[in-house]
Amino acid sequence: MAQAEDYLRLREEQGAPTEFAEGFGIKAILAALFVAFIVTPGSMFMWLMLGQQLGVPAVWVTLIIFMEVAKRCRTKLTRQEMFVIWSITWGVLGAAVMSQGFTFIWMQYFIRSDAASQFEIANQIPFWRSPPPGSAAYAARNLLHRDWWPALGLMAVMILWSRLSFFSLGYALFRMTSDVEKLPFPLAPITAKGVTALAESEEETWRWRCFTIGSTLGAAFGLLYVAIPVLSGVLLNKSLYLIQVPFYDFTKQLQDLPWFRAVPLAVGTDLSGVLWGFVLPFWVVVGSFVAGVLGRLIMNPILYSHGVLKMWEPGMDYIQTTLANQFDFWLSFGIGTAIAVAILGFYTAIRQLSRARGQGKRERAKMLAPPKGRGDVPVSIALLFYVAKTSWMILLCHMLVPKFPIWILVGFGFIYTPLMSYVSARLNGLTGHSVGIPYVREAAFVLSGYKGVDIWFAPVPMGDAGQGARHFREIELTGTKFTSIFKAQLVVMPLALVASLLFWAFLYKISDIPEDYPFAMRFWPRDATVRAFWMTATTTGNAFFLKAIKMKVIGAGAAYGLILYPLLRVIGAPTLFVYGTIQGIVGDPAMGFPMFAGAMLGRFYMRKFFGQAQWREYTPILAAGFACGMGLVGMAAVAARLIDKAVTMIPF
Amino acid sequence: MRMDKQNEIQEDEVVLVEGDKATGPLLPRWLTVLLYTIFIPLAFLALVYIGYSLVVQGRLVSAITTVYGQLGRHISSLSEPQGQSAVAAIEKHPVYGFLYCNQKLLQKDEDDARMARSLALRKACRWGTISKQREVVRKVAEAMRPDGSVEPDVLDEQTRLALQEIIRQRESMKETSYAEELVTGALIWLAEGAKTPPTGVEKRRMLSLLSTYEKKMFLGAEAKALQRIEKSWAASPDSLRNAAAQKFALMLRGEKAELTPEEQDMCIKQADEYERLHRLGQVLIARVGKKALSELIRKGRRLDHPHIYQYLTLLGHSNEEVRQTVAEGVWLLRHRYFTMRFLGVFASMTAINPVMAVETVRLTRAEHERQMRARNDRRLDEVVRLLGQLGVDYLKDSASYSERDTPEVVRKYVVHSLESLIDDDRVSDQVAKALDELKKTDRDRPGGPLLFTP
Repeated sequence: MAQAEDYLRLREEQGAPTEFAEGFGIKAILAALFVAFIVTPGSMFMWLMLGQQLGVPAVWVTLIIFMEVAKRCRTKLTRQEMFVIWSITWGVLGAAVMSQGFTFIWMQYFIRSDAASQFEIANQIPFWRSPPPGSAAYAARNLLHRDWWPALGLMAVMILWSRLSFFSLGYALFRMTSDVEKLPFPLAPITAKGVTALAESEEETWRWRCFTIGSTLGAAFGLLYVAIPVLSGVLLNKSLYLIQVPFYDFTKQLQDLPWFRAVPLAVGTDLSGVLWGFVLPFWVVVGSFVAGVLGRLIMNPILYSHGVLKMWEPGMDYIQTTLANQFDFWLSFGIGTAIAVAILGFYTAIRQLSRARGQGKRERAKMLAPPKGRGDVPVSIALLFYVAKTSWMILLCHMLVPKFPIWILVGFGFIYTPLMSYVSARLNGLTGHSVGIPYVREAAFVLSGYKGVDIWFAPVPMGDAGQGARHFREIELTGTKFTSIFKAQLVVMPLALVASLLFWAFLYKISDIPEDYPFAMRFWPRDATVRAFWMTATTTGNAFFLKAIKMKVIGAGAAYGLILYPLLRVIGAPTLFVYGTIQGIVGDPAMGFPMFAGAMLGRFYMRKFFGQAQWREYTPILAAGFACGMGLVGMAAVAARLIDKAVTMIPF
Repeated sequence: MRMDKQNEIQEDEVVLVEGDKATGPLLPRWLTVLLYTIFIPLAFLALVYIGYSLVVQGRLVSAITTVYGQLGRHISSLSEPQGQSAVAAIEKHPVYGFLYCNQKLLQKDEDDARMARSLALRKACRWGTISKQREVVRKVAEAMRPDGSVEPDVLDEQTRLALQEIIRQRESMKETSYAEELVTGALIWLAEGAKTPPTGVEKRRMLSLLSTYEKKMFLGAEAKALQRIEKSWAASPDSLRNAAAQKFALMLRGEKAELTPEEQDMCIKQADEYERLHRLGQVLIARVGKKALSELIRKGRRLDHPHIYQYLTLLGHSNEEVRQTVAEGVWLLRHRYFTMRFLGVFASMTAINPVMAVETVRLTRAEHERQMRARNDRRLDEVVRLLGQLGVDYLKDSASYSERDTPEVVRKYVVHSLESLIDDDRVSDQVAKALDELKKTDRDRPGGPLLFTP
């Protein structure tokens, strides 16, 4: 019962809105247009120049601008309207700048890159991803050329696919993990309560004060962490770091001691970790710290002395050590723990459903029925959507890559994706972070015996809809009707497509990207080489990464999760600890320190000082304010750098 | 009791209805109806089509397996009833059939169980020498100090003789890399009794040599194949097979073992038979692929450029008959826009890309590079021949080519590609002959020269 008490209590503390209101309207459409046509080009430009895009800051800035404009128009933005604007901003930026939209501009470079020709990839890239080498589209530097149309069509389909994924599987998983399993989604209140605090800014409520304190903290830390290094780089031509970014690395210093062999030892310096430690369930953070830091500290020297960690060599730093150990052991162990999470999740869900069945029709209906007025759609419809869109994607993928075994695509679409999305949604619901099994796609390509590179570009029906569940929980916590978000997504899709096409085409026309953009010029060749190298796994059959998948270690990982969970239940210990350890195994150990510090400070000082209930209310708002403050300072610093780069004379 | 029951049912119904009420309408009813009337049939059709594709793919894979053959089951020619039905199944879906045949030909040799067995048996015949040499190299490498010096008693007469044998083998190799020559140099120094002071790199050279012997162990598909042979031969009533099986068990453990001449004969014969069947399968697949290709050309079906590129890479296939069949297939594809262009691209790919020639589990970097070079050479031979023929054909019948295949394009991809190879010693004669033929045809053309200025 320990686990039930643990997370159900957390869920109760989050509170649930009793009323839901519509948030979509003309203000949301104006916000979408603002983001698509004002923020998007800036974000694209910054991505090419500096490798950073206007993510978090853009979202908060958009919200603040709209709030101020609303004030001057003698109107007010409701919490629901603000949340829809928040959601739209992320949607447009995500689709237009990075994921799908970026593919175009990257492909025009990749197909002509030295890496693509050296690895004999260039002539094997299918026409539906980019025009063949020698096409007039490249000479004219025109993304609207007819040779690009198939790729454009595919991009539209992919944007539609990702949105449908959110509507269908993401929603169904939310109903399962949130409505049935009652998981708390500990990070969901950050956005929800942040938006609520902003919405109450006129009334000077405790939420607003809390948000302001968080923003001030964030701005002050952002000044030390981001602004000083960036601005000193601009003014002094040398970046000045008052705090090491992103961590202090002790790996090399201590590895001569036998007890620190093969141990990736680093302490993260990002204060966000401390705030996350405040927000996340205490036992999740403790579990994460125990597995991520102490586990590696104890296990790695033992594994090294037994010859399990073979790739590690003295002299390796934190990142190299982490990577080497991942390949030798932790990757497979992590896969095993993901399997355990899935099994435990199914066990919990089936048990709750069967318990409801035992309690009769009424209880069951109560459990499955969503709150009134939330704007839900029947789960059956969501699942029907998922089946339909997955079938279409499988068909499309099969038509584009007819040589690839279709049963693998069916497996990806109807088994792997729902299963892993469920695992991810559960972990999001319990620990706030998700888990993915790396290299599954790559391993499937290689083990299928497929020869060719087109499969690497194909729209394989594989993804993680687990994040969608968390997003629905955020929507719920703000009291926004789901229908508002459905409508908002309908606006986001065409806007993202148009904005992406328009601005990427414009940027490409004025300059042969990556030329003129320092970040892209420096890093794209490296990225192209790595990508082309991966693709050779299906042309030459040299798949080095397959060595990282070890069945025995996977079994050990699964056994670990499946044994520890019932054991903790039996002794009455908090079972969230198990999920914490699983998150710690796959997560970044360096972040374990600040999160643990935050959890301890919150539990043993703040909670006593403010009172448990009040502290729980404060923490997500503090975290949201912190992200806003740090993001704004970061954006200002990056803008200064952008100006510097734009006016600096190139010496040739 | 009855009233209670009825009330409970009514209450349940109320809850269910309330639950339903909560799911408010997202879209107007008319749009919902329209959506479902289009959406549901389309989703259903997609599922049906996936099912159909699964069946088609299954049939094609089965037909290809029939033609290619497998351990204990094969056909000798396509005219056999099984072969005919397999060919019919492939020709029914010419594009897919063609692509699937190519996929089969692109697989590694050891992916076929027969070839894996053949390779394993051949390696078993060489194992006596390999294991002895590995022992000697290991002994010397382990006894060597970090600065390269060795105690004189390590290099006894027997060891030196064994080292000389390794040197002879290495010197008889047609081409060696710089790193391999350095290792041979260290071996010579040791075989001569390490009389001069060491330079400090000898230990590294010996360890490098030892790692190449580690690659000659039974690994992956070969190890599995030898395990299966060992199991079946151990259960055989034939005493010769029994004896060989016992030695295979030692080999799989990486221990020293040597087959007798009789056992070696038996293994070689068996390996030859396995290899013959494997190669026959490849040839049959290449022929069926060509048939499917001619069918798809006849039907005017589209073939994407990566598929043409991939087919052209088969011009470097290790099986000569496959190469010839593929060359005939390429000739059928000569009117396609990308064929001439890709042949031109392949003509320019004469150097080995060092990034691609990486060390693998079985091959050292130098061995991999040699393997790649051999493949490139084979492909280049075919490419030169095809480019010459293509140029002549264009001059004789340019109307049958696409409008985009202008004389400039032909000059660029055929003439210039051939001219760029004129200094390549290995193909220069072939290139000169092709260019002469081209020039002659161009000169004799009724409308006057098209590609070469008089």
